[in-house]
Amino acid sequence: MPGVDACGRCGASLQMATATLNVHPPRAGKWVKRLRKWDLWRHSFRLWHALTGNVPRLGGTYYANVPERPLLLRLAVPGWAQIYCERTLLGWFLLGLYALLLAFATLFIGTQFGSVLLGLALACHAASIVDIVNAVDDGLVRRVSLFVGFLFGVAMIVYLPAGWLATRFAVPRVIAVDSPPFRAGDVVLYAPATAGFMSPHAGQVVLYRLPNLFTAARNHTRYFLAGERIDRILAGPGQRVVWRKGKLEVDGEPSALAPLDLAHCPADVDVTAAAGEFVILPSTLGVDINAIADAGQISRIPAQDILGTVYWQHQPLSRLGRVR
Amino acid sequence: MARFDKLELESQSPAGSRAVQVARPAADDVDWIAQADAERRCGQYENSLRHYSRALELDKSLVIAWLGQAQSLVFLDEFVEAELWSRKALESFPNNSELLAARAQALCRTGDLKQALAVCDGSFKQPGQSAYRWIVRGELLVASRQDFDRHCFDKARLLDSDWLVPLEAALVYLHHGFYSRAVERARQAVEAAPDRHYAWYVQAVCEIELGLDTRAHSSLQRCLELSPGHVEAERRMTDIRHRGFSPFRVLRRFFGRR
Repeated sequence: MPGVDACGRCGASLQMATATLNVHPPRAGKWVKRLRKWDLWRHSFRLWHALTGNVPRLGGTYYANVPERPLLLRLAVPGWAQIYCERTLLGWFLLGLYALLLAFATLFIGTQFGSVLLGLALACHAASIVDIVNAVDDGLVRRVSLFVGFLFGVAMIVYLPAGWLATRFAVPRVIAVDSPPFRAGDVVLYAPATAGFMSPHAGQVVLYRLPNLFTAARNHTRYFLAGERIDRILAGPGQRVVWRKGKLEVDGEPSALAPLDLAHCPADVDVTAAAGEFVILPSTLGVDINAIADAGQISRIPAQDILGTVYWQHQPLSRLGRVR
Repeated sequence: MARFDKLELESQSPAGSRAVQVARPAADDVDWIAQADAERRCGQYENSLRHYSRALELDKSLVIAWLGQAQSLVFLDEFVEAELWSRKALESFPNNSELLAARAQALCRTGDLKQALAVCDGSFKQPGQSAYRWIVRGELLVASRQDFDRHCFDKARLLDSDWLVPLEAALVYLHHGFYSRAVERARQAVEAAPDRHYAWYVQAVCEIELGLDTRAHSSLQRCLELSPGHVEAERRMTDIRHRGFSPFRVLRRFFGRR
């Protein structure tokens, strides 16, 4: 009808012939197109869909008809997702191999071999994730992204808390030099003092840090004492320790406690620990302690220098057992 | 004249046929559209876009030209512009199903799947059927990693037996990295039009991506037979001949496409 601007049915303009419209579309330059391929906004959509939209379709080729969310949760344990998808042989194999590697890695923890075994156990877990991600019917980049994402997720959700928890109770430490009763290459476990699992007290064997100090010795010799040592706490804050002829007295009372290496103990020491200090007779210094002029001074170790309680000898396996 | 295209006339036979004649664009427009279509069938989307624009200069009411422009922009990887352009065309042709589909495709390629799905749904609510709408629907399913994309592309083929339909489905799969599915569609296009070099070329690209170098080589040979001097085909042929070690390819083999 004359005077009508748009079609009453479809709404299309009826003035197209007279309208002044630009019919040449805007164009993107070569560099703009290249930049857009790395455009964060575009990738943010992809990332969002990868995280939300794609997760429910995790099933993929092998695992069609499998609910995705339970599958996703089961990625936390190697082989569990495969068992859930009724690929039991593969699942149990992965789980068994992982458990075996982890057990041996724990047995040899602190050694190079133990680190290799731990790496293989993690690789086994990664293989379990790869198997699930590889079944996703999508491009390489997306699958690699999913794999990295899941691996990161598992690392954050499983391994980071597990690692944090484990180091509250046991941190391996390799003995670098012979210091009886330990030998170079031995591995001991200690519980960090800050974790509160085993707070240091008299009688405990502890890992402690020597104060960095120069100390005078005979024949114009000076020793620089530094680094970490392992020895027994003989007395706590405020207590007086008298060590004479291999006998220990704490506050005037005889004590059955003794330093770890009796052969390298100072001959006579009379020292009183101040508040916040422990008394440790340094028998594992690796130097002639009797040559040091002020053995009493270095026997007083501040509480903050006690790193943790050494409670277990882990390597070699022939001497596996509790440190007493 | 174009402004009377959508008039509903009572008389059907002689007057109706005249109306159809009137509805047809002028000879020049037809030529430009035909040239644009021919270029599109050769994979020359830049030329195709230019010809569609020429057609629109003569007649702005040609929906097919607006649509062709948007589609060409999509194939030229100018998704933002395609979305903008289809939106602009929709201002003149509101609720046009094809333009809605074109906008959905552009949105999908920009990565905004949610809005793309909404626009695509809007397109399907419009009356009528077309292969392009099903192709776009298929692409959305591919992009959102849902099954049933095959059914959409099969439906598109049922609606339009043109070889360009499976070929554009192959291009969709190629864009989203589903090479094994892309090669299947490209093969359908080659079977439907073995004399079209572009179909052979797209098939070769899919085969190269799948690592089927021997097959890709023969596909490129067919392409070069039909279109001697095809620059891209020659370049890819040279790449195949001088292909060395590639860690990316090894990685791809490791992850293995299905």
